[in-house]
Amino acid sequence: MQVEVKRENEYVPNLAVLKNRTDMTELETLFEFEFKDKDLQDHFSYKPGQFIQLSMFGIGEAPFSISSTPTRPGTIELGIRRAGDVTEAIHRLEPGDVVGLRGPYGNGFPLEKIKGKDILIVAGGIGLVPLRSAINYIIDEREDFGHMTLFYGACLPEERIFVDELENDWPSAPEVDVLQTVDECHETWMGNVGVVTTLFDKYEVDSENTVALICGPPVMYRFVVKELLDLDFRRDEIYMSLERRMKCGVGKCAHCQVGHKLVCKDGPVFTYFEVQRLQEAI
Amino acid sequence: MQNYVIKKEDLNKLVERALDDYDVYAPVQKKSIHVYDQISDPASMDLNYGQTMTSAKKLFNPPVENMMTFDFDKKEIKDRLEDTIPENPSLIVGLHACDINGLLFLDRVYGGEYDDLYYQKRREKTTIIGLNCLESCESGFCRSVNTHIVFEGYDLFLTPIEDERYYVNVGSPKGDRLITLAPDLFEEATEDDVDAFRKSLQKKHESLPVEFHLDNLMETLDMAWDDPIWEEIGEDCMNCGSCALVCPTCYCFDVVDEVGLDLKESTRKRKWDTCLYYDFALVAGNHNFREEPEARLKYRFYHKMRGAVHDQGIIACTGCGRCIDACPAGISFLDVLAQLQKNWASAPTIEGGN
Repeated sequence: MQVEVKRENEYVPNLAVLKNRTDMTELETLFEFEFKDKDLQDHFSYKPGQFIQLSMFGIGEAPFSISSTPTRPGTIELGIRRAGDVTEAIHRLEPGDVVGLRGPYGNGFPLEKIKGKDILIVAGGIGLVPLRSAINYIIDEREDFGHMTLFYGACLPEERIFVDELENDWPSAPEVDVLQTVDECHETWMGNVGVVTTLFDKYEVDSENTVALICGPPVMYRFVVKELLDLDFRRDEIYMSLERRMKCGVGKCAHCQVGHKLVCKDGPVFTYFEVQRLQEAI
Repeated sequence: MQNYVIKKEDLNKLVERALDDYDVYAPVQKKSIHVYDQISDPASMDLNYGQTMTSAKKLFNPPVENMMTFDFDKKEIKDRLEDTIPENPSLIVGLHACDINGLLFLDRVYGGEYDDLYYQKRREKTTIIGLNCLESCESGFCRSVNTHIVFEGYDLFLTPIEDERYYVNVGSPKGDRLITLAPDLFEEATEDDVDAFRKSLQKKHESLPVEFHLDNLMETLDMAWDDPIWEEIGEDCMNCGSCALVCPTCYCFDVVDEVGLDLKESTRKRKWDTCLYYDFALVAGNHNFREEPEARLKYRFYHKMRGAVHDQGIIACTGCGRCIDACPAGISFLDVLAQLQKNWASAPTIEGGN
């Protein structure tokens, strides 16, 4: 159950301390935060696929998908790429430093609704950041879900994130298959080479009782959706997480408006059926 | 609900008395234009105005607002909500129906699932005396978007009637209180007054033109995504954002942190923003979902006239016409909508107005 933490002024964040940082690639690091407030540490919860607004005071605030799972409470993990002013500043943080966090916001992946189903997850690059939350949630609540397959594509082997889990934790979990591919590689890479859609030729996906969760760069969606439709996936059982530049996170500033939907409130997870009807969505 | 009448000259007396307790805002003439400005003398207000250059949204959602301050040494956040709200209650006199409808739209945006207290607290502390327009203003097209009428969102609403008087509708307990504060200035409306009120409304309905049919605008816009008109006006549009700044319903904002010169604290501010600006839909990695100027202008039309209906249940246009007056490229919101309806007619269109 999600316990709602009510703040008086929605825009004012709560203080949180950086506990740990783990560099994953040259650009991406996993940051583990803990709320300063003990009550909040105990009661803060969220759904996989939701996001949080992180404040670097003096620099700005930006939205980040949550990478940890609510089944492992206590801290919040955010996988963050260095890409702009706010993320550059986050990457300079050391354990003990203080930031502001508010949320969680957005709808998240529909994990309640897809209980009992097989799940195909397709992730490209840092699209694995929100999906890692769903993957670990499903592994922790294993009996509630059917078989889980992960297709993960990255440009280069060294650009992959959560490598330890990709190589060890997930493949050894019950009823989980993990397939990886890279666009380009060196001689040391023994796995698949090619864009993520090439994995559809290497693995038989039965769409009968399966839903798809996908997240990746905008260009990936079109090609992955085509594969899924060819396999007879239903349009409303393909879930995709969209990225926009949210400022408020709560449906007021309109920065993330796409067509008639707000990515922060109505999303960030939409079905392909919904996305199809939104101009400029992907 | 009991209705009242007040003499036009007595309205000034009411404002005079209100000045003791309220910050009073009213239309004031500045050179060739009118603006809502704070007044200290009732004589400086001019209710005989067509349209103010900017809308009243600035009084509820100022162009720049301090949200919170962060103290770098103490590592503390100070909520600035209370000191950003004016100490005195406000009274706005002479707000037209279009602008009251604009506030009703903003009420929806800043309410709902999450409360925006900066807006809501100002709204709660403001009393509004609305003013009915019996004649069309120069660029307005309120009747085409049904905002020439208003049933809520005001505290008192004045309609000019014969003998230099106003017919007064009471819209809220706050309005009721205003009347009890000055019972000598208001008289209960008689049957003759009701008749005079009806005549004024008749005059209004005869004089306000209908320029397009709102009822089939949704269908029109659904068909018109690829209409050549977007490219045409997209070439003229400078993406300056003037239309959005003067608009009573454009609510988009940006949030920025500004560090004090002593480097001891930073202030988080929100500022008016507009979807017409290049970086509005820019995300990390320099991907821009609306790269071209034309895409941004088209989006503004679609958000206001189509998307807002899904979000808030009503269109985000009050027909006030300010965007038409403000556009340096001469793009008319009204003409574009009327032209689209002609191009994609699924119902009778209106030739030459009325």
